[in-house]
Amino acid sequence: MKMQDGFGKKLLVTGLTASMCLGLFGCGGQAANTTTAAAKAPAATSAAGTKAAASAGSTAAKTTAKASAAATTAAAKKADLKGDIEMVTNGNEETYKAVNAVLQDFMKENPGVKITYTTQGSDYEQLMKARMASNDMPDIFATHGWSVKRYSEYLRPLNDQAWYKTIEASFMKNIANDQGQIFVLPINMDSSGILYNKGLLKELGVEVPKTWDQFLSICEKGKAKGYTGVFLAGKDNRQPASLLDISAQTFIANRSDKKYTDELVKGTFDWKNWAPLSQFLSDLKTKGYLNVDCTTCDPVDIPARMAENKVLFLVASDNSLIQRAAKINADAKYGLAPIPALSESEKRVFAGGEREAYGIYKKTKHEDVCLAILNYLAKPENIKKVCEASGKPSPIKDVKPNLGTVMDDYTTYADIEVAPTFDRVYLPNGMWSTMRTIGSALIGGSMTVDESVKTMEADYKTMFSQK
Amino acid sequence: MKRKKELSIDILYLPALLLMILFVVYPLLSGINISLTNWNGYSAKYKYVGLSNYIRLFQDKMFYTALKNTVIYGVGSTAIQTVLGIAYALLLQKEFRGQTLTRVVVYLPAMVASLIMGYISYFLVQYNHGAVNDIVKLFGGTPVDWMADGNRAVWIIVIINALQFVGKTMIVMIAGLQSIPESYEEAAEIDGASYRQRLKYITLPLLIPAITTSVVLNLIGGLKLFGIILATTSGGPGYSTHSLSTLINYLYFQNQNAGYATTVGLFLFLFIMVMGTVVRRWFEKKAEALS
Repeated sequence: MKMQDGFGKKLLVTGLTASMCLGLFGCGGQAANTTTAAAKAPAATSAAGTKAAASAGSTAAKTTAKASAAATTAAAKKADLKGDIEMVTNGNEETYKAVNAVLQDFMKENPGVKITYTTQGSDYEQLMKARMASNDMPDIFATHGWSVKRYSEYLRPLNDQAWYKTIEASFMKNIANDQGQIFVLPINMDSSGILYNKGLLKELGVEVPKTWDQFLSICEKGKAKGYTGVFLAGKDNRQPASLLDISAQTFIANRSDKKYTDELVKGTFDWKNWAPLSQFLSDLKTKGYLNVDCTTCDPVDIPARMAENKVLFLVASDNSLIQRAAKINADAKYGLAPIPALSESEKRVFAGGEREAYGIYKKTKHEDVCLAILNYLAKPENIKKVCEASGKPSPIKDVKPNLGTVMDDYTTYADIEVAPTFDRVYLPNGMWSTMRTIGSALIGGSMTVDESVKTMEADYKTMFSQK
Repeated sequence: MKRKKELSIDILYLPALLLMILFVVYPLLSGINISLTNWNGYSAKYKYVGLSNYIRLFQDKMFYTALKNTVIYGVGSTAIQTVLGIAYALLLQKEFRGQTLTRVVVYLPAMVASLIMGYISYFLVQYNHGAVNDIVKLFGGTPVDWMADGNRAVWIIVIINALQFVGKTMIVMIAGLQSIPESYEEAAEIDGASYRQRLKYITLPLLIPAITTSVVLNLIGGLKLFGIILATTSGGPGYSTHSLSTLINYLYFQNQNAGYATTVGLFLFLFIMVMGTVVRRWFEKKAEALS
């Protein structure tokens, strides 16, 4: 009897331990949900401001409203639209607010439609991967640059929509597959380069850098005066990854003397050629050009730190930072410039492509409502509103948003080529996370340049084989 | 008659058994299956890769760093929580004005979600305008980027976790102290035993069952630490503060390597089970030796 008790006790304890351990299998998901809930909080708060945003943008809307109204609302009024629609994005706060304002207007016009629109922030990709695995996608979702490579098998082709013909032909390569099918309505587009402090560059007596050597030399000059060469908010490891991704345009992709891009696409790339890029990031840190808290600073602090007017450069894709910093301190004037080249003989480029773009889940039960929502969003005045809020240009013909001082930069560099975002075109799906790891590890000093190259190579081979 | 009674008891096991199969056995078997593939976590396509994920486990620097950190999170947090928990329990067992309020204050952080606790702590230790650096500056010191050094960040996370859950340990210890008959202490006091002697020879030995429960629970909690790491460092700089739990999250959802992530998950399952069992057995032997 005693032995039986002992056995029972052991079984109970082992069972309890096992249950607690196995709780871990659910732990990731649980925590992810918590994070999602936390991310929803600002979203919910920001919804309060939507009415104001809607009224602010209404004046510009009047001119083009008549032309587009007939086409876009015809489907909506044909029958009383009804349905609960889930719509998700990973857009930043400004973009979210602007899109939400448009959706609120849509719901006013279509009282039978209820749109639950949320932003998931940095957890968006994890959430979407989990939902792809369970075939439970939102009715409408943002594709953050991956409408073709990652999401196309879940999306309804949209070439049959009236707004399809309004997309700039030059932008099509970013969102169309080999058969020319598109799966999203592109609202704005990325046009990444370097953000530079106009006032400080003037004070240092230097021009906007055309090469990376000039860029580093300006950082050195700035450091002597106590300025931060390059600002990084590395608590979110997407920031150093973004720096690598943008810099890779001229370190690797646009080299006139090499055929790296072909090699990357074919899987024959010699990864030793990645070393100069890792070395560049590592040097920024070791030479003291990065902010002291480059590994721990939270991205929410970026505009405030830019507004302190002590930052020379940011290698980032979020041009709305320029306006947000100026709102805090009008004297902090930043501009957008192309990505410096490796040498004077090489060309400078911008990195660009799909940004805020929405597709419709092909198995949605409310396809008619979803199409009506995209048609409404596609109205030029609505596209303009979102572009102005996000500080990004539009890929839709005849939509010319007022992007403030950045417009001057777009005009100045109108002849500079916009190359497609490096990782989306030349790396297999999933390598972004490897770049996040190595970028953060390089500035944190927990990885050598050689280790970073080996990590990139190993993950590239794994993911290339999964294609 | 006896067989009939046993049969009815056996039937009562069934619901629990079904739940166990559904939530423990099936996920475990499914996990083993996934660990033998190169599944990316969402695609319908995958290949069986044999034991390569298990071989990779022992060649992966990131895994070793996460394993080392996991041990520090588990053991470090447990040690701090146990020592502080006993101290709080001894202090708050005595009746004084504000005793209940103090207990509530000590327990309060345990009621907050780990993720929220992590964000609050981040505001304390962040470089720019962090509360700790503001105090450092107040005394003329130079601000420090506390979380920039991986090794230091790991210990800061240990302290945050320990302070958050010390209240739970305190409650278990208070319950343990209340189960010790007062007559033992009174007899020792009459025999002239000092407070330290009473603590060493009566209180602590009789607290061992409570300590066992608390240590095993805290150890398991520390070994699966997730929320605080995510909120304070996200596993960085680089991967220097990853625990096995955050590494699983990273590998599965960011690195798109569900097969390997599941392998790490299975390792963690076995690791926690072995650690929990060994620690429990050690305390049980200690208690047997004293009785």
